[in-house]
Amino acid sequence: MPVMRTGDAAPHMMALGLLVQQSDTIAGVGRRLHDQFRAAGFARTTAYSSVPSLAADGLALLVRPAPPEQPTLAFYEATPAGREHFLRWMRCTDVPVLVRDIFQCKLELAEPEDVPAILELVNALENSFLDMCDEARVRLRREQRSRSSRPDKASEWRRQMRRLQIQDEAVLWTSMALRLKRLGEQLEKMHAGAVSEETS
Amino acid sequence: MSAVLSLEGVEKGFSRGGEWTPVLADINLQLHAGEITAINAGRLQGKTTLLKIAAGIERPDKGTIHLQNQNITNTSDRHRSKLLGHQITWIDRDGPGLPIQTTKYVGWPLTLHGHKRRQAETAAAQALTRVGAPQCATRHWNELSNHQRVLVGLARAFIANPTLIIIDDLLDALGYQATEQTSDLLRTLIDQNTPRPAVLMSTTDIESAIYADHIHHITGKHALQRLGRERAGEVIPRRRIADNP
Repeated sequence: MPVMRTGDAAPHMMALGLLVQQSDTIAGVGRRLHDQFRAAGFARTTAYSSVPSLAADGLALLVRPAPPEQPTLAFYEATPAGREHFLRWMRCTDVPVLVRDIFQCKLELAEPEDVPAILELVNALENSFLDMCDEARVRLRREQRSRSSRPDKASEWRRQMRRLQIQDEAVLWTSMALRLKRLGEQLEKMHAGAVSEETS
Repeated sequence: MSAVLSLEGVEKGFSRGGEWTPVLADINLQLHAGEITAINAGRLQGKTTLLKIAAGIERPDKGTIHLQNQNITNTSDRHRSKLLGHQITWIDRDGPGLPIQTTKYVGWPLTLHGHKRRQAETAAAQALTRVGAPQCATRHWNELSNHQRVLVGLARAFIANPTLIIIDDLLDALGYQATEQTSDLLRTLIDQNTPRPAVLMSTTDIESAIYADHIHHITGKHALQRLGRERAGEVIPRRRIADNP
């Protein structure tokens, strides 16, 4: 049994979670990894290594081998040990390592001449967050309009969780973009002040 | 698609403590029918001033305002207040500011349209039922919970089928669940209304802004910056009535 790191949102754990949710082929897990955890940016090919690796650890079981020409059609299910491992992760309440923020580190060490490069990074990342935010908001609006008339209890639960997840995601990216917008404005002011002092 | 309201090069400032304080600088904004636009900024950063200029309550120092292709920048106060009663509806947290029953407050825009008081109050009761707040009909504003005030405000906003609805602060800081319900209701009301109005709202929190089609942020330089790209406001077909919650 592999050691579990608290707060670990590594692709193999997500792949295991998807297998616990529903047995699937490697290609199917890859597609769901990509679609259901969009913001994490998992490549579809991530599943090609993580699912066989879960099987090697005894957390997944090969139920139906793939035809030789299409190895990604191998069909897997989570083993009882895999389910237990996944539930331990899901219900783990230890606080994970806090994010090491690149701007916190750079600002601490930056000299005036470093500011233009930091500003460029701020702007680039802000735009990335805005793109992610846009994408999440489009999904949120689709979700807002896709309520079925007679949902059963399980599908209503999934719908509510999905909506909460997308809502939280949109708030997260927007907040990150706003934070960088403010940081960029402040850095620009400081940079302009430093430049005018230098020239006077 | 032509804009319901368009602001071009709008500037506004106030004299505070003998000093000129800019509040809004070079504001360009277009509002389209059926779309929600959120103005996001911190407290005292010009959101309400911008909304008041859009509503015609305040005049800009510079710039032009067009309401449905008509330049209303320098029209008379009388004409502007008529627009506010007819084509534009303003709702905020303060409510009527008078000790009147909710049905009177909700039905007020109809009385401005020439409806008789009883007709307006009957329509107000129906509007309150439509938003899920029939129990508020006989109460006064100060007897309502925050959530009920939002529902009553929305009932009033749509009752006279305006082309532009301006919501100041009312949908802000409601919490996740109430924000979700209110945003769904707002979207449903827009879709069911003919014509579909443009909605302009102010927000300090992000939770309510994310449901808008467009989010604009008032920057430290008092300008307006779009938070996100065009595609966030992608046109999604009008919701079928049967799908409404």
